[in-house]
Amino acid sequence: MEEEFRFHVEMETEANIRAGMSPEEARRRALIAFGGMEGHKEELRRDRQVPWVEPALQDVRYAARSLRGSPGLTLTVVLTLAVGIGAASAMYGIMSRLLLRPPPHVSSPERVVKLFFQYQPSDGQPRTYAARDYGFYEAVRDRSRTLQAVAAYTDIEVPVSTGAAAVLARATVASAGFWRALGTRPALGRLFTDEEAHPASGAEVAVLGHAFWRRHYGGDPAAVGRTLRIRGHSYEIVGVAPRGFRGIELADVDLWLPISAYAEGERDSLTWHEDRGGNLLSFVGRLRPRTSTPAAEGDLSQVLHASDEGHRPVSSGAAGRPRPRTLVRVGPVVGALGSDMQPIPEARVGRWMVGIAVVLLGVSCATVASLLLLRAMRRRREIGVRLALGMSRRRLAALLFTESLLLTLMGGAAALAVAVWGGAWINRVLLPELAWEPSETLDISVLALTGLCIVGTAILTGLAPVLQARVEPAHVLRDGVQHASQRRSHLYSVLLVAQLALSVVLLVGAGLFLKSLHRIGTLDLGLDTESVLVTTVDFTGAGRAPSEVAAFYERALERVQVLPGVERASLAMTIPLRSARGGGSIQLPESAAGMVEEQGSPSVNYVTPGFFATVGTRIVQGRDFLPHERDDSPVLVINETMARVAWPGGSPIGECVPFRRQATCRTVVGVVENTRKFRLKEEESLLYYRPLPEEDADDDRVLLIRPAPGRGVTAGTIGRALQEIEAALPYVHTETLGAALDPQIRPWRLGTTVFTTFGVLSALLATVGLFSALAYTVTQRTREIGVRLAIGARGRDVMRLVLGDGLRVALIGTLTGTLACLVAGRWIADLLFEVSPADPTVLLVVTASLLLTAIAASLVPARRALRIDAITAMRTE
Amino acid sequence: MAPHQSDVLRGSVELLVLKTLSLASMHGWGIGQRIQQISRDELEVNQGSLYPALQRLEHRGLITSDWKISENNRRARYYKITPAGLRALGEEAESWRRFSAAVDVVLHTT
Repeated sequence: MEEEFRFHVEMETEANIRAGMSPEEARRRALIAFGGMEGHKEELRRDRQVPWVEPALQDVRYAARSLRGSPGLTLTVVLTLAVGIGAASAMYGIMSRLLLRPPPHVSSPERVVKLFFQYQPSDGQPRTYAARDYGFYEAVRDRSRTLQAVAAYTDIEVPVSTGAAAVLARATVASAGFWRALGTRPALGRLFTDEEAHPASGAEVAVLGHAFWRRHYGGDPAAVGRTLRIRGHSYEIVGVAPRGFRGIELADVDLWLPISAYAEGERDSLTWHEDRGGNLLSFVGRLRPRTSTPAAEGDLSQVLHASDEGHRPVSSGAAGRPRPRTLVRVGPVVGALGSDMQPIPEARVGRWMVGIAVVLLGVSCATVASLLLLRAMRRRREIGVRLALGMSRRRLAALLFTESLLLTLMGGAAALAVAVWGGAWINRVLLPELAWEPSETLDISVLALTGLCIVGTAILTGLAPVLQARVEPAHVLRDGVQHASQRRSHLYSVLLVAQLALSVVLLVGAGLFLKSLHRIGTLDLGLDTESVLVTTVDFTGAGRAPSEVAAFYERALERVQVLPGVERASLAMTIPLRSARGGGSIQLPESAAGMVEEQGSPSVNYVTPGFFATVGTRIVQGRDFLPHERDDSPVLVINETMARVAWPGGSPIGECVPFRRQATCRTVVGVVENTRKFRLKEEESLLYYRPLPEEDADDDRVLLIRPAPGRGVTAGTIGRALQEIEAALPYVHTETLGAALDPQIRPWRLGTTVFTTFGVLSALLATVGLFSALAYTVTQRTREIGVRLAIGARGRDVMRLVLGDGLRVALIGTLTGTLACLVAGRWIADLLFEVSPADPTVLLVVTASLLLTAIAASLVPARRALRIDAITAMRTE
Repeated sequence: MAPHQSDVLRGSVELLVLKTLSLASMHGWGIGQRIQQISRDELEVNQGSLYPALQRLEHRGLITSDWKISENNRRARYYKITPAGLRALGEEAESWRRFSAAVDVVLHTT
C-alpha cells in the first residue's frame, strides 16, 4: 500500500516538473494533492482487514483489562468453574473407566461373556452367584455349542519371591483356553499353552503383569527366562502381559499362572480339580459369532444339568427334596458386574457421583452467571453510555460474550488440572483396589466432555449479562436508583434459589452417607475389628509337616502372650471374617433342620481358651473353654442363633449333642453372641466352636492378638517376635481383624467424601451469591435507605428490610431443595446402609444450617445498610 | 472552470474507474490522470476517494490488481477490470443515465 502511494506521488511530482515547477514545489504540490496520506492509510487499512478479526482482538484486549481490574471476581469465577467442570470431568472419567470401558487388550470384548449361576429358592428372590467347579469348565469345553472358547480362573494371593524381595502378589490362575477366550497377545515373550494349563500337568510357568514387571524388574526385557519362587517351587517367567491388561476383572493382577498353581503344595494338588461340588472358580467365555444371549444361556444350562447328573452330592439334610434347578446366565464384561450379576457398590455409588457432579456443574454455572450478571448490572451506566455513543447492540453483546468466554477458558484450563489431580486422588485413595494407570485418567472422551462443558458454560454464563444489557440507554443515564429499587433482576433471584436448592440436595446426600458410615461404624459385629490383629504365616511349599506347623503356632502363641503391650492372644483354625469351615458332622435337634436346609451346614471354628476375650465376642451364657479341655474333651460352645434355633425356649447349657460317626456326644458349656461371618450385612447363621487340639494333623492356624491400647504393638513387633522363635520364616502377614471389611465399607466412604466436598462447595457458592446479591441491593437502594433513616425509620426496620430479602430467597431455596430430596430419595435408598432417604434428622440439620448461613450472609450487608448516613446517601448518585 | 469536486462525484468515482479500466488496465495514478484527460479537465478525482474506491471495487470482485513494472521502470500496482466488472459497468451506467435524466426533468419544470 505504501509503495503504491509513493509511486503515485512520484508520478504526480514528475508531471508537475514537466509542467514547469521546481522539484521541491512539484513534490509539495503532489503531496497536497494527494492529501493526508496517513488518513488514507488508516481508512484503507481498516477496510482491508478481514471484517471481524480486528474488533474481536479489540474486545479481547478490553475484556482482559476489565477482568484484571476486578481480580476478586475473576478469581472467584475461575475457581468456581475449575471446580464445577473439573469435578464433572473427573467423575465422568472414573465412571467411564468402571462402567463403560471394556477391559483393555481383550479383542472384540462385546463377544466375551462372564458366566453366572442363578437358582430360585423356595422363598423370594432368585439368588445369583458366579463360582463353580472345574468339572463344569470341562463339560462346557467339550459340549457347548454356543461358545467358541471358555476358561476357568480364579484369583489367589501368594507370597512370591523375586530373588530380591518377598512380596504378596495377586495372581490369577487360569485354565486352558483363557488366552484364547480373551484374544490377548503378550507384550513380551509368550503366554502359557493349553498343555501347560492343565491342572494335573504341574507346569511351572508364569506370565508377569505389566505393572509388576515394571515395579520389580524395572521393565527389563531380560526378565523373561528368570525364575520366581512361589510356595517353594520355581516358576519360569515366560512372558509379560500387555500394559494395563487385567483379565476381565477390575483389580490389577500381578501374575498369571496356570491353574495347577492353585493347589500347589497342597496335599491334593494333583486331584483337586476332580472334586465336584467345590465352587471355587469363575468362568469366562467367547460367544460364537451371531449367537444370542438367550441361546447361549439355554445351551449352557443344558450342559450344566447334564454334567451335574450323578456327580453333585446331595446336600445333607435335604434328602428327598429336589434342589431348585440352576440356570446359567451370561453377562457382559463391561459394567463392573459383581458375583451377583449386579454392578458392584462402587460402580453404583459412582453412577450417582456423575449425577451430582453434573448438579455441581449446574450450580457453578449458575453462580458464575449470577456473578457476571451482578457485574453487568453494576456497569449499566457504562453500557448505557456506549450504546448512546453509537455502539451497535450486536457489538455490545459480542463484547460481553468475549468477557465470559475469556473467563470460561481460564476456568476450563484450571478445570483440566482439577480433573487430572482430583481424579488421580480419588482413584488412589478411594478406589485403591480397582486398577488404573495414570494415563487412563485423561482420555479423549473426557477431554471432549470437558471441552463441551467449557463451551456450554461460556454460552450459558455469557447469555446472562447480554440479556441484562437489553436496557434503554436513556433510563440508565438518568440513573436507575428510583426505578431499580425493587427490580433486582428476576433472573438473578431464580439463580439464587436454584443454587440454594442444589446445595440442599448435595448436603442432604452427604448427611445420609455420613449417617450410613456411622451406622456401619457402630454395628455390633460381635468382633473387635479395630484393635485386634490377625497374623498368619504361609508355610505352603516349605516342606513342613502339618504337625510341625501346628507346633510352631503353639510356640508363637506362648511367645506373643508374654510380649509387653499384648493384652491377650489366642489361636484359631479359621480366620473370622475371612474364612469359615463347614462343621456338618454335628447333629442338631429337629427344630434346626429348617435353617440347616436353607443355609447349609453350620460352620465350626477350633479355638484356644481366651479366644472370645481376644476377639471381643461376649459370652452370653455359660463359660469359655478351659486349658485342660484342649485334649479333645467333649465340650462345645455355640452361638446365639444356634442356641435359639436348636433349643428354643430352653437353655442349651448341659445339653449333649451327638456327632456323626463319633461315639461320644459333646456337651454345650457356653453360648456366645453372634458374629459376622463375611459381610457387614448378612443373615444370621449357625456357628459353633470346639477346643483347638495342641497336636494336630490339620495345620490351618491363625494367631489373634489383642494389643493393649496405646502400647504401640504393630505388625512389625509381631513379626520380630516370631522371628525370635525361628530365624528364617517364610512370609508373615499381619493385619487388623477389620481389614477384610474395608473393601465393603469403601463405597460409603467414597459417597460421603464426594457428597460432602461437593455439598460444602455448593453451599459456599450459594452463600457467596446471596451475599453479593444483598450487597448489591443495599448499594442500589442507598438513597432510599438514607431517606427512610432520615424520616425516622429505626435501625431494626432497615435490618428487617435487608434480612427479609435474604431470608425470603433462602427459604424458597431450601424448601425447593427439600422437596427435591424427598422426590429423588427413592433412587438413592438402596445405596444407604440402614438409613432412610427421608431421614428427618439429616433434613433438619441441613436446612437449619443453610438458613443460618443465609442469615449470617445477610447480616453484613444489613449492618452496612444501618451505617448509611442519610445526607451522604441522598447525595449519592 | 474549476473541475467538479462535488459530493455527487464522490458516488460516481467507482463508475468512472470502471469505465476507465474497461478501456485499458492501468495503475492508480494513471486512472486519475485518464479521467481528467477524457473529461477534458472537467473531472478531477480526489486522490482520497480514488484508492478507497479501488479497494471497494476489488473487494466486490469487479477489478483485480497485480504488481508490474511501469513505463518508467518502477514497481506499480496495475488494476484490471473483470468480466463481472464489465457487467456491473453496464448496469451502473444505465442507472446513472436514468438518474441524470430524472434530475434534468425536474430542473426543466417550470
